[in-house]
Amino acid sequence: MHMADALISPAVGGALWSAGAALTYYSAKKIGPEFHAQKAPLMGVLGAFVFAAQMINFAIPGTGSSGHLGGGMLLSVLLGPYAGFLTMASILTIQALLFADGGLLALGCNIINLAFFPCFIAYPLIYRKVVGDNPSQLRLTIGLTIATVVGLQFGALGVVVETMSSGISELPFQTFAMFMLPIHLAIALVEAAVSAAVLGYLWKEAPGLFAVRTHTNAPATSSLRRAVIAGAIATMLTAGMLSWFASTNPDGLEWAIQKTSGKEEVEASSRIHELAASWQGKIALFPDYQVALFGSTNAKESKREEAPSWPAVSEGTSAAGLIGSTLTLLLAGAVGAGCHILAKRNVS
Amino acid sequence: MQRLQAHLDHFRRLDDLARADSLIHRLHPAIKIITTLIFLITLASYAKYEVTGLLPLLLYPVALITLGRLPLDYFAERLMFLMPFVAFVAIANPFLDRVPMLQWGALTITGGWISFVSIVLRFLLAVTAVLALVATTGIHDVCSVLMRAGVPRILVLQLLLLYRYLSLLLEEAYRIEQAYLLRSSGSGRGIAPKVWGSLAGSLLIRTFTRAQKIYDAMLCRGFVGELRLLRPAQLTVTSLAYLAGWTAFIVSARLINIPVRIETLFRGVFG
Amino acid sequence: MSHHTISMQDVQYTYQDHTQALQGASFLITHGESVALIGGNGAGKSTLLSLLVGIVFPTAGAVTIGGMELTHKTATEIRRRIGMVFQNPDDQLFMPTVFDDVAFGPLNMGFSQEQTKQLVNEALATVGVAHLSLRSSHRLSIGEKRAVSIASVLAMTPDILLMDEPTSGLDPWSRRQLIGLLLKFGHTKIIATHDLDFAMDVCQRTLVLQNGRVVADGPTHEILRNADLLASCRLEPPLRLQSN
Repeated sequence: MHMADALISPAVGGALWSAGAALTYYSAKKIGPEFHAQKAPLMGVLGAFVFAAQMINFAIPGTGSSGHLGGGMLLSVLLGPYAGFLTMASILTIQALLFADGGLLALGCNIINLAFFPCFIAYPLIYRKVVGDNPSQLRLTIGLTIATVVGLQFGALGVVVETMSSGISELPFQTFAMFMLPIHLAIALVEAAVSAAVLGYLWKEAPGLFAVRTHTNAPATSSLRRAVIAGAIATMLTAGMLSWFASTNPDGLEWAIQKTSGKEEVEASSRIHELAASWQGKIALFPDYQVALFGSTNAKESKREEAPSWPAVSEGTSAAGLIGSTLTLLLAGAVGAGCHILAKRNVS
Repeated sequence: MQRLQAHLDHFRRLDDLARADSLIHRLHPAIKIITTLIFLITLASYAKYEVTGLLPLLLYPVALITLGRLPLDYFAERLMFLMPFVAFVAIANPFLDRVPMLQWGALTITGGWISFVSIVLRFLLAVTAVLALVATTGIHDVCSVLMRAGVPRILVLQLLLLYRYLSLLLEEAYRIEQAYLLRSSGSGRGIAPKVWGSLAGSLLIRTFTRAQKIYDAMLCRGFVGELRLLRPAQLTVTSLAYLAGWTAFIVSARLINIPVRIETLFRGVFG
Repeated sequence: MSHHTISMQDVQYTYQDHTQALQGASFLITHGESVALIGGNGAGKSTLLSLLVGIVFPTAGAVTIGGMELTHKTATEIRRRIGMVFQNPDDQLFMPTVFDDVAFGPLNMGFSQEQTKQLVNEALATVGVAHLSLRSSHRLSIGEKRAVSIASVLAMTPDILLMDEPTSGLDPWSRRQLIGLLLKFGHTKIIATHDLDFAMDVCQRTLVLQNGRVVADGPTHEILRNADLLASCRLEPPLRLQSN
């Protein structure tokens, strides 16, 4: 359920990027240089472990299908929330960079969905409360299960909300949510069972490793609250700024020109516009607004206004863009072929 | 098993590609990262129904792939692997948005189909751009730039360690899975959760031991908690020209619908 | 030349699980000596090496390197003079590529970017793996990994080399290369090994450890001929001496 770049808008991506960055800085600061030096290798190898473990499928009993490990909760339990968050963030970054699994612009979304919720919400508010300082195997399992479910539900909801606010998918909120939430409930239950099995094994075979957690950082609620607030402020600031920018300037230049001229057809209201218009006229490069509709950046608005007339649009007009697109592709192909030859010559 | 194998293969290929040499490899890593970000942000800023306007952006991955001497199937394999989630979200559009937007003779195309094609195109462009970045830059240079850009050193060190130990852990996981599947009856599709606990658990314990050893080795080589990295090569005029050129192209592609302009020009000349 | 000497005075070390790994080890190694450290599994070889670089600190007794006692305070300083080559190169080589890995030590020691690059190139050339510099550590053969491990230590220009089982996993050819390489080095060396033929080739002196104590200390050719001593320490004479 990694978010992809194709599904998000710059405002959503940017806002959650800031939130992710704020939380990363906060966590890095919080764990401090001493912990950093000592636990850095452990975080690194545990990250690789979680990455690898995610690739091992295990059978979901009675269904004939298979699931895999998530990791946010497991890392929080083993490393504490801050180091767990950083490790999860690094896994997501590597997945985005190396495997294109989750987009680069969507990295903030993925960090919030898959690292923030388990490490900063589910772990301290549920797992720690249920499990306490002297856990039994039963409490461990119960705490882990509830925390994993809550963490993953938040994560799935995150995916839905981010997709909705980006406005690129048509899925209605309810449909999407009704699909995502139950599926992730099932996934969470299995993930919890697997995490509990792994931790249970560790508990029996190497109880000393649990000590890693106890003396590191069982976080003070106040500092956690600070982390959440910092993330929220970063999100709102960026979202606010970006949406202000987007609303005042939805389609860049075109819109700005329309706004100043007050009409759809660009009116030459200044000398510069006049010059531009005469230049356009001469080489006939600027299309008629109608022809450009297919490719126009504000097609959505146009669609709403002109929807009834659409089926009646003449063939010549609506085919607009088709020839141009073909030519563009041919041109790109030609450039590609040229580059290919250039690259070959450059090496030999 | 397929997931493991696929990721291992991809990782090895990436590693080989990043070590190769080409015009793109020689550019300054910071320049490549900035260009990629400009590309991705611009890409995401297009309106929902944009299709023709996105086409010129294809030039960017095409140039990277050819000039960087990257194999096409490297991208194809990843695209196929990642397609399902995006397709799942996008395929709803044609069913939910049935407002006709285009008409060619008897053929009516709805807004939903146009936005569907748009999403697929964005997906293709974004994935190839990111994959091409790392395949022509390598993890060290990416990390070195991130560190100099102010990303916390602890995160940068995590990325390096993850890269280093990823294949090791993937291979161990692969061996475990193979050993299990060979000895199990072969009825299930995966490992039974009970066994999974002890398999993954023992791998986890070994991981802890390894981490301790690595820490010792880092100490022995003077590590006191502050990561230091070699600087990438000097910023060259070529690199700056590369950045300027692509920025100009990407921004103009965003502001002017190039295919439509080309068509008008074409009609002006031939029509 | 006193800063190349290594000494242990009645060093004891007990692990947290109460295993007594060393129970009073004492020896003095002087400049330029090449010493083999042999003994069965669990005799305390690895612990002894760990104590010499301050990975762990003695529960009793003192470790002195070049006249400076090894404590938490002096550990960083002392580690600059000692190069430790770990048994498993996958633990030692933790950076993505060979060049970065070898550069890690010099950069931490405060060398400039230019100096570091030079040190890395020299170290790689010394062990004969300059051609691997851009390769990824995880894609090397075990022999290559070992060579790079040694380069990563050499780049820090240490006076003393410590090695833990350097021949394990090596094929005969790589092993022969390693012997040739070590014979060229003028460093003071302590090499923990099960490979007694290797010890004969590289080390003039041998320390035998058993149950955390030094039970024999003398010229290698004498100790390795003492079949009774070796048998009591769960060892066998080197192959080339067995035919006699």
